[in-house]
Amino acid sequence: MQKDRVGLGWRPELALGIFKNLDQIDILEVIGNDYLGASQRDALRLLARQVPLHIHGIDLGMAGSEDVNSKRLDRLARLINQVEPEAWSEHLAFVRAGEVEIGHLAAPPRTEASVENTTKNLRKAAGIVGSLPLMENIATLVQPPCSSLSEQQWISRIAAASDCGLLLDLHNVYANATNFSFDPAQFLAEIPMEKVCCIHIAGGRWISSPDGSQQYLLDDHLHEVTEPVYRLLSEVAARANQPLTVILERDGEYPPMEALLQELQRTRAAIAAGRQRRVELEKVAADAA
Amino acid sequence: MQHDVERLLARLYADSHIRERFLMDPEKICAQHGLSPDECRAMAMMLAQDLQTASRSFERKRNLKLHHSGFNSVWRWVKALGNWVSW
Repeated sequence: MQKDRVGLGWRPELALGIFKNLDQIDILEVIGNDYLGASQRDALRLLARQVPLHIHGIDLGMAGSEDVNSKRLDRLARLINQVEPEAWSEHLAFVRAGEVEIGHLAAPPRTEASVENTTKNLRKAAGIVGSLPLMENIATLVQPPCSSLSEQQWISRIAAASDCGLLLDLHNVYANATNFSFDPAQFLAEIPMEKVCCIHIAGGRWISSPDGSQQYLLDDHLHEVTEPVYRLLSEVAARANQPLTVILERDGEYPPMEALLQELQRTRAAIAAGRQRRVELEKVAADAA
Repeated sequence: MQHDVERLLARLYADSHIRERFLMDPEKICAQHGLSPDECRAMAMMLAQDLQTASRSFERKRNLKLHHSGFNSVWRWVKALGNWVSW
């Protein structure tokens, strides 16, 4: 059986540190949009021969009501076919509408209509790329208006209708739970845990609204992972049967590589604690039976 | 319609003028964008602070992308120049 794995988001600034410490890094995740040129694809293919690789997409806008763009999918398909990563992923978000580019991932209204359209987009993507992406929950600072489903229901329905796996971003869950006052552990209890194939962890920071009246936890990937996120990771490890692949995301303000490696060690310890809890719970259940 | 809601949301996130008008009279702006009365009411319940904070965050991301694309463009020129000199 495959083991739990812990890895890092590939960033050029971290390249040397990553290559020096591949014995402590089980897997890398690469932002696909940065490597769409022919020579970049060759470089990535070389990297994929040395370490298991996931490709992460950020601008397809799969969960929008507009059809996912065929040219963008074609470019991604060329990359994926050449690099042959273990898996690829995208976000449950829209990034543009009516010719307006938002610039980042936005939460669409969570409705039956967006479940249907996301499923349609995922089928189209699978047809062009050759495989379904893992789909990631996003952080949002706005509760999407006109929603008729909770985020958990929405994610569950998309996963069921499309049969896609999930990339569970635990800092996004934690940030949304903090900003909109819900229990993140309950969130985990209400999504199809058996569909979770990969996990993101990251750090964030507090920001104020422009008038200073509200505080928000922003998912900025510029800070170290905090204890509540590790606790959620243990919770997932206690709930999930399947082996987990956990990726630490860091997008800037890079600390020394030693600090990132320590975060990876802390990640392994959090997974181990959850797995241990699962064993104990199973033993209690068996004894009771 | 979902598409109309997303189109208006995208404009609210990306265009400060329409955002200001929306915050002054949300139902009017929603109606002008073809939203149903129910959708107009739901949009009007969005918290102004949430919308403004999210828009500011999106604006920073857009600026960051512009900066990066500018850098990449310069880098491509430097590389091309280097190739040309070595040739």
